[in-house]
Amino acid sequence: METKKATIKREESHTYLVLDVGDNPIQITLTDDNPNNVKSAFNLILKELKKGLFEFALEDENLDLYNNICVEYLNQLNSEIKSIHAELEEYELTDKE
Amino acid sequence: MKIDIHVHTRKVKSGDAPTRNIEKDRFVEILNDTEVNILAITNHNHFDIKQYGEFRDGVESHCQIWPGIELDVFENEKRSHLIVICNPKNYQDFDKAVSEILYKKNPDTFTISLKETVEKFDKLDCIYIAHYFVKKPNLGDKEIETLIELVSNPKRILKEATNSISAGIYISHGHNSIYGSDVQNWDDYLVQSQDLPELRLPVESFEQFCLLLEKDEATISTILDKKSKESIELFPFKSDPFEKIELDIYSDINVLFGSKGTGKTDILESLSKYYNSKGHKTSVYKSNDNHLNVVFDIKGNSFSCNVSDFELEECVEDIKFIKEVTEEKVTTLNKYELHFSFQETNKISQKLKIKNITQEDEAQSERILEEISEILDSFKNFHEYTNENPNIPKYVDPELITELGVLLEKILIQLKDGTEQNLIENKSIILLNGIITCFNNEIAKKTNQPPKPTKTGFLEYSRNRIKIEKASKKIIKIINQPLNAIEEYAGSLGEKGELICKTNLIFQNGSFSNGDYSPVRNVFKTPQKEFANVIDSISKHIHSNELFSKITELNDIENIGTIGSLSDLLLKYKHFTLNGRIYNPSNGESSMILLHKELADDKDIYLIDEPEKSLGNDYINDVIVPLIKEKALLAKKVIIATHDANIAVRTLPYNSIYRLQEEGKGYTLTGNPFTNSLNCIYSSRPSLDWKEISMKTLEGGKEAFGERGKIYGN
Repeated sequence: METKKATIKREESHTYLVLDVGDNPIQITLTDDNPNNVKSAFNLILKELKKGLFEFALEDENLDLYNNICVEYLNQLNSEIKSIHAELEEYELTDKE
Repeated sequence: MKIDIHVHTRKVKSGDAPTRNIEKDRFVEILNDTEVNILAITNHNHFDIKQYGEFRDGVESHCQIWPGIELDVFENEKRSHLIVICNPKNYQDFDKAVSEILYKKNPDTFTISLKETVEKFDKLDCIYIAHYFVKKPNLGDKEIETLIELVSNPKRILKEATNSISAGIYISHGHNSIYGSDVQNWDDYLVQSQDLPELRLPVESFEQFCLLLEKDEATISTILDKKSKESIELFPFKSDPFEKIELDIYSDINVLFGSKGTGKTDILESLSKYYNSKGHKTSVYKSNDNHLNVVFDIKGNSFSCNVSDFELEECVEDIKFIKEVTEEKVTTLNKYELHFSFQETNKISQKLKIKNITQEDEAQSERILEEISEILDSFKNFHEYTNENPNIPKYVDPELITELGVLLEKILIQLKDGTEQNLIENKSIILLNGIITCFNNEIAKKTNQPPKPTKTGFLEYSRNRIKIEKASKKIIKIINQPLNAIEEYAGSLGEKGELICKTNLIFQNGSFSNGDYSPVRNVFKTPQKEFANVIDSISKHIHSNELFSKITELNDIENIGTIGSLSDLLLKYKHFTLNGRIYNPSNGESSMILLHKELADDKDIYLIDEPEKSLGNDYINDVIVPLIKEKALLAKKVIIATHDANIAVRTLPYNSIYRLQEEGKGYTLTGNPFTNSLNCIYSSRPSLDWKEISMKTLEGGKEAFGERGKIYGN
């Protein structure tokens, strides 16, 4: 299983969880209540999952609130990613080489 | 039943072809493959009693062999051929007579006078068949006159023609005529025998044949009576409801003829009512009542079919799902921020680690549970079936059933254990998730700390999209499949070929455009096309934020409510094809096909009114008459009202019913071609000559009589 990088981008106005998926990394805003932003990220993760199972590993040294949030979030997300990949395989919806 | 009165089995004269020689085994084998039921061995100036006996015994189960000879007759300084066929009962005396005339004679040079021939053979109960006219070497009219004077019964003299056409011409001129194979090469006999004269009445003996030559009414009646008939009383006439007629309807061909307006159709309608009242299902087939386009519903107004007929899925649930699906909610990260940014000070809350456990996926364990439960149910049902079906031991070894029982028990135990385990697992997950949620909520209530989100929402979000993808791809895959056209045999157009009614079917896949096609169901074409296009678009937007705007687009299609299954996307185009090409049959061709179809249907009773309408003689002769005859052979009741001599004469009906209007009064006369008479059913008017009336009343009468020689019976 592939491990993809996840980082936290801390800016003055907003903080983002940056997921290294596909060609361009996805940014999910931690400090904003924006479902569409999350959905766009999920769409890309789902598309990427068709290529094969992966999980995110957080690369962040700061032990702040955002780190706590992201550790928890990625923990849940990785578990859900695993389940969805199993379903994609079951329904033969994965990208076959 | 075919008859061959002129057969050679030996090369006798030096001019005879050696291929005329045939041995018993081959003779039997060939005869077995033909429809010849009466055959006369007539070698040139030769009779071999031993061979006759062998051949006769070899085919006795299905063919009568009559003894005969082809004599070289010398009369009036002229040499000609005369066939003498003897009553098979007298074959030994016949052999003796032949031996006497041929004693010390060379068959090549042998001749005999007519007087001597008659003196030798007449007492042996013989038939004389003279080579006539173009059948060389022939007896002239003068010699035949002499023969007539010499024989005891002139009706025993027949004229041999070369083929059916010349025989027909002789018959129409009042000469009793027949023809035989005059076989030259036995290799050709199978083919040759197909053109031999057919005996319409089943002649059982030489004597019966001779009586038929004399038109002996008692003999004909006896033969006719062997066919079952039914006497029917009818009041058929609309013009005179009190006129009663009594008709014998044979399980054979019954022809109704007479001038227009004499009530033939009334009789057919009345017969139909009579048969229907007895539980048959009959109707009168009327030519030109319908066109082929209507009968085959070429516009497809009443055509219906389902995609399930092609073993494809209707996708009702998938379509419903796509129409109704809504987006699943996702958890935004700020919900996590709200939770984690709250300082947890409550000591009890800090101890409750359960709130930190990640929730597990319930759906997956539910799916596994469903799967194993289904397998368990199927095995349970099969186990019950093997236990409860009392017929299994009749066909399956009881030991095997016991073995299967033991095996099934083992499988059931394993499946039950598995189901139990999966059930426990599933319930544990549900309970665990429930507890986590419950604790989170309760802690949140007590501490005012916002609850920790238990899932990101990715699972439900993605699962929803996967389901949409699955459903849309399934629909797209099916609607892009070609469907086999439905082909229905319409009928034969003779030499032109076979007419097929073809129903082409296709799914509207969004890109199909052809004005000839129309929806199979009561659906408009536009929503069909738009539906297919939007489904395609949905499948391309699975990983896009616009997916649900596409689903809204689908629901916004005008009349989208009419599309609930894939059958609603079906398009049809019906047409006829001839030799693989689209063909529009003419009115005449339509009549041909419909009549052919009527006769091709397997029924017990056929009631047909004027089948000849719009049809050419060739089609009647080559297709319809043979079909009618076939029905007669199968003992079907065929009752045809006709003005056409090809049908009324060439089929040689067992029963001819003639309707006549005279001085405002209707008469019904019945008869047949064999007795050549038509008798009034109430004897209220004199009898009529069948042949004369047929020639006068029927269209094409003279020609039909002229070409009728192939069927021997008049």
